[in-house]
Amino acid sequence: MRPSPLTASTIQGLPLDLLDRLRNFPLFLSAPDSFLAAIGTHLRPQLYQPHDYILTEGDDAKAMYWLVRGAVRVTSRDGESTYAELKPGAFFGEIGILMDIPRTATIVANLRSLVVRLNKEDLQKELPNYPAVERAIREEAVERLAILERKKKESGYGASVDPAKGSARSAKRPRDRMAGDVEMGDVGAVRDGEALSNKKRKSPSPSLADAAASSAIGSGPLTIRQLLKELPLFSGLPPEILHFLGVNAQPRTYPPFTDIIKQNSQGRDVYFIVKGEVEVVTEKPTDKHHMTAARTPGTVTGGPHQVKARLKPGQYFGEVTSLSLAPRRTATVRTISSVECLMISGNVLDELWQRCSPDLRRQVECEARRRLQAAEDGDVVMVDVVDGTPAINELAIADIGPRISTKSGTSRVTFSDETRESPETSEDEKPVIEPSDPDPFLSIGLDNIRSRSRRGSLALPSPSGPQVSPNDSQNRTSPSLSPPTTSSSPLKPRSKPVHEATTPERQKSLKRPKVIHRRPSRHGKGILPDKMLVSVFQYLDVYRLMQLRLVSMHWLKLLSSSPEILHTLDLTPYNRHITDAVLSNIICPFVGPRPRFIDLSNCFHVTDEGFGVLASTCGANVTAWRMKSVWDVTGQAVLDMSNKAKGLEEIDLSNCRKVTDNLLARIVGWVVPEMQTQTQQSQQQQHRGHPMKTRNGVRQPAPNQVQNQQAQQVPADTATEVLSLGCPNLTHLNVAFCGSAVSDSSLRSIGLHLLELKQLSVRGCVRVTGTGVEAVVDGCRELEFFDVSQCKNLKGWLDGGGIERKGRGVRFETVADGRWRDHR
Amino acid sequence: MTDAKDNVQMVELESSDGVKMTYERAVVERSMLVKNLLEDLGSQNEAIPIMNVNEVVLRKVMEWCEHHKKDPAPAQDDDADSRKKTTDIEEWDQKFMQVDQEMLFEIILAANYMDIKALLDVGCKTVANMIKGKSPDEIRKTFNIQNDFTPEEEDQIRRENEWAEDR
Repeated sequence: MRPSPLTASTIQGLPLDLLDRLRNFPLFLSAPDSFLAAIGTHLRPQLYQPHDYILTEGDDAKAMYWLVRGAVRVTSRDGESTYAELKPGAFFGEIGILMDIPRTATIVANLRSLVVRLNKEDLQKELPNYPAVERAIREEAVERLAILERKKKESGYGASVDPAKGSARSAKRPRDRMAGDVEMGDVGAVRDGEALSNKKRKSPSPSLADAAASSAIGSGPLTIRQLLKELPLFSGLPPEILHFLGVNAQPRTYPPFTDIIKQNSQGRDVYFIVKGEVEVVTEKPTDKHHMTAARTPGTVTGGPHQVKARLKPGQYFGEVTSLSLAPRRTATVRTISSVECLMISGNVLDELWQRCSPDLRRQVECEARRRLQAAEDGDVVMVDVVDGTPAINELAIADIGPRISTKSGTSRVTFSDETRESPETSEDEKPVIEPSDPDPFLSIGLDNIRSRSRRGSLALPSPSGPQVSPNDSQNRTSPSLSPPTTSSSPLKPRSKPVHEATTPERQKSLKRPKVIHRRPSRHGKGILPDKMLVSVFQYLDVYRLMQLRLVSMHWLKLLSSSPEILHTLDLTPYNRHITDAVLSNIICPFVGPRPRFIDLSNCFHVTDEGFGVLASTCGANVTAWRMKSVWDVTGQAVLDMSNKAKGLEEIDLSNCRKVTDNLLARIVGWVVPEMQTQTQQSQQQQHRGHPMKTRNGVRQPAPNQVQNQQAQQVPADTATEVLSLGCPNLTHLNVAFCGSAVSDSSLRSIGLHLLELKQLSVRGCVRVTGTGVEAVVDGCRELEFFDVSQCKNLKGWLDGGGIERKGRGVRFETVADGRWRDHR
Repeated sequence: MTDAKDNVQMVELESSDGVKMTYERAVVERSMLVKNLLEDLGSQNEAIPIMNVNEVVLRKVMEWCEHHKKDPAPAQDDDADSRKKTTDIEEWDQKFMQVDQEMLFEIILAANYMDIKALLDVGCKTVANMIKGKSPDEIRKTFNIQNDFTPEEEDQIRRENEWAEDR
């Protein structure tokens, strides 16, 4: 067992683990410990299940988040477009709280994800004391917002984004000056990847961390800047220009054998190779799709594809057109291996030229011309390129080709260009971003680029291509676009989660409007006023209420929307009829978040799927949840549920056979040496405790009860711990007959975590001894009743007068008659 | 109006149709409406008008109040919310509620107006029990409601309700 993180931590109350992570967050790299401590006390861990919405576009921003474990997607509101995927170490939600604007994107959990949440007020409280950190965060936010905005615009969301955009614009200028500060963020991101991979041990999904670390660009926009700096061309640039480029550079990833630039296409973007190799190819005139190429000298001389050069990391291409030295792409640039590049759009370059000293441009231009010329000469250029001489040479080559061909192919070229770029990008985004891009905003960048280039090339109709669907024409024109599979694969994962996640809502919205679009007639109201109708409805169960919808439109509306009814959702009478489909398609959409009490006991057909829908649709306000013998539901689903139902006071998990300690432990993610759990526990208590506590105080009569009775795979100590962790405000806990699973260490953690506990039953738990009992009595100051009947190993303690000595007035039950349960 | 008789304060109520009747203060105070009025007015001697309730209904309501005057004040606890609400009704109340439908609704409306929560609850429970065994058509008749669904809409809802059929 590791030493208690608490003792090792210099910062009070912060588990070391968390502290490490905090330190590794890019934004906090330079932050003093005092800041981390201040922030740390406000952090609230939260767990999300796959497809959970963490943020919803348009909502008020109340907090920012760090992703500790798992993966989340940045998506459009409808979930149709994925802007990016975030990996552990990433943070999100800062735009909203720093700029005081509604959420600019929707964030959905891709995997089970652990995030820590920092509330807006808390951050605002602390930030003023740490100006450097504040600046860093703010700048990062601006950067991201700008990127996001661009991306959205491309995908057609421009209109809705306007306000955000405005602020982004205005914020952008000033921030450029501060480039220096931003750096911190970048570095952090990079390190973060490393840090995470180093910590694999703790990470449930090491592969993710690895992936993140392995992608050069993956670590985020910040890294981009670093990369830029390493490019010979830019190495001498002042930080603010680098920053400018960093903000605007778009990371892109291409699978092997994919065209990045299509000969004769129109695009002014310049690409810097970060990783992998590309070859510069001029195409043969006979090529069906690229007739225009025929005019290129290269093509004539060469075969169908003449390879002119190979480019390696550090080199760039595409600048010839960018500098307007050639009207069209002079060659096709195709990936050899999987390639990551930074793309800087033509517009950005234009701006760059204006900002930086004319020298730079001259330098680039001069190189480009040289290349161009060389290219025209023939293969010489190629050689240069291969050498890894400044990318300029290579660029020249690529450009040359297009120039020649320009006239013949103009119209055609543009098309192919568009298609090229858009399909590529779309491909890239999907496959690349989703699996390996740690930074959400990276992907965003990609989109932006795409749109720009399209615009330039007249391809306007296609811009939406990336997300919606690569246009047909695109696909046709670019057969070489690497595997169709890539393009389709991205769609799959994306669309699937989307559907699942949104299913309940959609159905709801589909169903109701369908009937309700008419105004209910006056005659549908009847004699009783709504208020009393609602009072009547309160006494009816869900099925009856659903039937009552048939009475009239008015009733239907009332039944579907009154928040006063369906506080109790008792499905037990219908247990045999409750399936996943019924739950997700019929019951949940109707019930919505109204229930306070859900009884799912004996609904044994229900699996995680239906349960998940129920939890996410109806779980938000639930305080008591019984699911005895819903045995196909796994522990992770249950914990997920408990995470949704923040006010949960009672859980009955009796006979939930899949709820085992292992699963529970994995969900929480801490591989549970006891002490660690505890520290995290304290965190969780912080984040959940307050709301529940107050509630608990008021509503004692609702027992907070967890029953794990007679689970087949007996929950072991870990499970108990995890439970204590997940539901720190339980007032009633029943682990009777959990046999050998519940030991003194379980009790110890109960004593440490379940501080609100009023009633506890460990009846029949043979491993319990006086030590554990005393731990509970000492810890749970609210404890009123303690059933220790049939605890064989407690006999000595009891006989020795343990109750009298240590009982602290708690009412002990030593002979089992189950009476206490009647008190409920 | 008060009447010192056996130290029991009496209060006069006036129904909507102008009939006055006198009850113990403890009885009329089952109605929060009356209780609050009494507290606001102090001990004035005027009859308290119960505007929306006619004589017959008011007497009936007061009969209930009489019987329940010693009930403990309802726990100001909405916790019942989180439990399944039972439609069990105590025996006396059941009998009390054995009236024709019109009266039942009148009582509920009166209980609502006079803010007698326990009575309202009993009334609603009674109605709920009444509803339980009824078809939508019967319910419409009971509540004087017209069916304003199109057949298609009805069909749709019906289909949604199929999941629990053949129980």
